[in-house]
Amino acid sequence: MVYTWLYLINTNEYKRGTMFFIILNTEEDVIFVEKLYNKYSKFMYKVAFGILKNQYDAEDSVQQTFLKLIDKYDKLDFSDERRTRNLIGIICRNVSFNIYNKDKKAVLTDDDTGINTYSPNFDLSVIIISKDNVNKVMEFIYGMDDIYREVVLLKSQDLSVAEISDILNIKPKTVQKRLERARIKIIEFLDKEKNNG
Amino acid sequence: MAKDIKNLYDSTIDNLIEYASSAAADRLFDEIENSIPDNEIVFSNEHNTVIQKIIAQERYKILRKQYKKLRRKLLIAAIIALILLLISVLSVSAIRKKIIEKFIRTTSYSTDIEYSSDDDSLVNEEFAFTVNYVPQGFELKTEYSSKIENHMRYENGKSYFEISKIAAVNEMSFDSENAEVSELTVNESDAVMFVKNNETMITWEKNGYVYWIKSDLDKTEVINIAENIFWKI
Repeated sequence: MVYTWLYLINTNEYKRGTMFFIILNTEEDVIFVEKLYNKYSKFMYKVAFGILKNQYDAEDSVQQTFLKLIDKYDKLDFSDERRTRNLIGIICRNVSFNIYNKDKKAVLTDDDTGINTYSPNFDLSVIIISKDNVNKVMEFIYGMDDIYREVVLLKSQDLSVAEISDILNIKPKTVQKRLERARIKIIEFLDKEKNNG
Repeated sequence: MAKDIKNLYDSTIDNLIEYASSAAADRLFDEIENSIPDNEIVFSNEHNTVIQKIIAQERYKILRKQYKKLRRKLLIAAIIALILLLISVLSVSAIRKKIIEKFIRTTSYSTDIEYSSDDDSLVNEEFAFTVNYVPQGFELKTEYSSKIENHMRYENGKSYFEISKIAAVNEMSFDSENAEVSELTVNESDAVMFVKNNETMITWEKNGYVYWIKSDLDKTEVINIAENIFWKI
């Protein structure tokens, strides 16, 4: 493996001191990564700009997402185009949230108010995989808190807990906890929908 | 039964979440794709420079890695070639002998030269030699002879040369540490020359006698003197 430290020189305080590992082995890897950037750079920018609202931070987010893609290059599957786009989008969103939180000195915390244990009393009929239910759950996930939505979306890209932990730079235990809580929230939502319906 | 229901529940929920979250991701990023037209996005020069730098540095690292690999292979190949060459050279006994002797001569602080004669009666013989070439300005200063040695010393102010003829009954040792040692022929005899600290000494054996000449003159001049030493026996 080839490891190299890159120091992104920038006057922005956040960028100063940022260092990454890069793991590429051959010229073909470099060409592929370059193509990946050319194809998705504007998409990444759109994702970042939607959160950060300014060009400077959005470009910073694109650069860091690019570095992260290279860093995780040998661990990610880029065979499916749609999946690749979604994966890059989720990583870029995560990087953008980090920049946003650092700038605003805001801290995302885990939501501890939800039910933490599985209850065997939920009705099976609640969870029929119908188009209607899928749409409802999709909307619910769409509107979830970021900390849960990101892990759920990454899980949907067939990534393991360890891989998600690696991408989001959080502990695997935290990933597991968030997935479980997200799951509980979805179940509660479906139960509520059934009672309302 | 309860366990089966739980397992069914869990797997169904998981499948539902998987379909829904995948659809949620598609919808989220489809919307983002359409949020800003592509032609309205123009990256700054600074940003493009950073990206190019990242890619260029990666290329450089890969090239350096490949170069290191190649250099290692070439070094191994060179070492193997050198070993094979040494093996083939040292397999020739004459070369091996010369190398070993050269090694011994130049690494020994003291060089042993063996001159010997089986005839002990030489010890009792009186003998003499003549110096037919004396460099200009030199005069005979000291001379002595004994039953086993005949010695002459010539001087010219601070410069000198001295010659001895000794019966070769034993081994003789010369301090050759840091000396330049070479072989030559003097009066058809194999000789050894030592040059150290601006002094030259030549020694050779003839008819059971050892001759040595020592001087602070230039070695060419010393050889000339040696070549013009004549002896009766």
